[in-house]
Amino acid sequence: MTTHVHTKVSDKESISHHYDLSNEFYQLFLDENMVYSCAYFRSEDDLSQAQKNKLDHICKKLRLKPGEKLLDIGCGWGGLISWAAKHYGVEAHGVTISQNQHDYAQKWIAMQGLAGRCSVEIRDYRELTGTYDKIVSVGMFEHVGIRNFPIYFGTAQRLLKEKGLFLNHGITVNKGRKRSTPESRFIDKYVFPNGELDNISNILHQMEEARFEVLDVESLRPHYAMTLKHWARRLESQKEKAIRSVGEEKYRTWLLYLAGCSYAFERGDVNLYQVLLSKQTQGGFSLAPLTREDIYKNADDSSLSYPGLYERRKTVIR
Amino acid sequence: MSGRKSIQKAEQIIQKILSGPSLNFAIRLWDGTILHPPSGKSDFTLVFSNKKAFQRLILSPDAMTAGTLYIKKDVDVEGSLFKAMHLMDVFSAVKLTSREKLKILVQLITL
Repeated sequence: MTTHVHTKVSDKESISHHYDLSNEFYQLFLDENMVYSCAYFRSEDDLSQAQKNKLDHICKKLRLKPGEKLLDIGCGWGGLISWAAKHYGVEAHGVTISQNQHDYAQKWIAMQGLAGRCSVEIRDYRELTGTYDKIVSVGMFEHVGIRNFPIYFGTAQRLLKEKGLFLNHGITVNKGRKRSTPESRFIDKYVFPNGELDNISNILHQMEEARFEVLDVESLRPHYAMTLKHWARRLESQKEKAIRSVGEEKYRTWLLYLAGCSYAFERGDVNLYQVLLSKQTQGGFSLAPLTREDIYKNADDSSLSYPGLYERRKTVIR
Repeated sequence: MSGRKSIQKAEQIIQKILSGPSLNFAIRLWDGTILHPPSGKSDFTLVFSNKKAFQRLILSPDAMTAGTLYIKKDVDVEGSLFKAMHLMDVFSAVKLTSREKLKILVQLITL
């Protein structure tokens, strides 16, 4: 098995290999919010709608309220922090170690008039400080390295207020499956250097070791197979532009990895879990309500379905 | 080895390791020769751009080799790439005796 070191310097290089490829290349196949993680489909949703559903699904699971401080660890191109600030009225802060993502996110935030309640900075998760009501991490912990899980989950625990919620969304590998396979070696060499997947049992164990209460565990495996298929089709339909942007070899690499990962999710070699955690070090119950019903309210509406919250957010600004 | 002989040997190897009604793809060799699956129906064509690519994939039919050959365009898929994703399962399902393996190895090396 390949052992990865995961220093701050090596992590920055690994992240840069993938995420600093080219913003315009990723724009060719991602949705308009530049969400590069598993979407959430309801029947015939297109990719754009499914990504909005996903952003809402996460914000609702976190029970975001206006004025709360939200931290996004590995915020990508800023899709989630902007969405949360815009539609849920939170003060959102995102960190990434990709220069390209940071620059794009900053422009995206400004473009939407969210500067002041939404911010992004280049920062390694190990260097984070501050206190937050809610923390989210989407598709980032695949880059952390299994050995660093105690530091990673410990950091989230340290930054959260008591009774704060943390949603961790990421890819896992089947328990019975070897961690190093020809597929994973290909991904490691050409696509995501230093990525490491663990199985959900171990991950839950690590979360509990970091003194989190596990509130909710949801598998989105079929959704990721669908998302990847959408991305691969969209990329294929933009073949010429993609090749102009990154060259033919990178285009073929990304196309193969998207199609191959879709197949891996379909076959069940890998899975995608959203795990909702609560910091409960002093006993009592978490902030999550008794049932999950609130998550599914207004499920069919998108961005404009939170007039109440939007108004209250306006009040906060004044 | 002359070009025609190489193609003949490659065809023999393919027939030895890939057979059965469930095969859903055609194969095109580097000289343009197309081999159709027994069913006659193919969802895609697996293209070998050169002899070396064929030798490498048959010798180590796994995702690392296939992926590397694909991104360098030594191997291509014409038609649905999604439907080609099970290719490595097809190759790894091949069951041969050591004698057959040795024979194929010799054929491959002298291709």
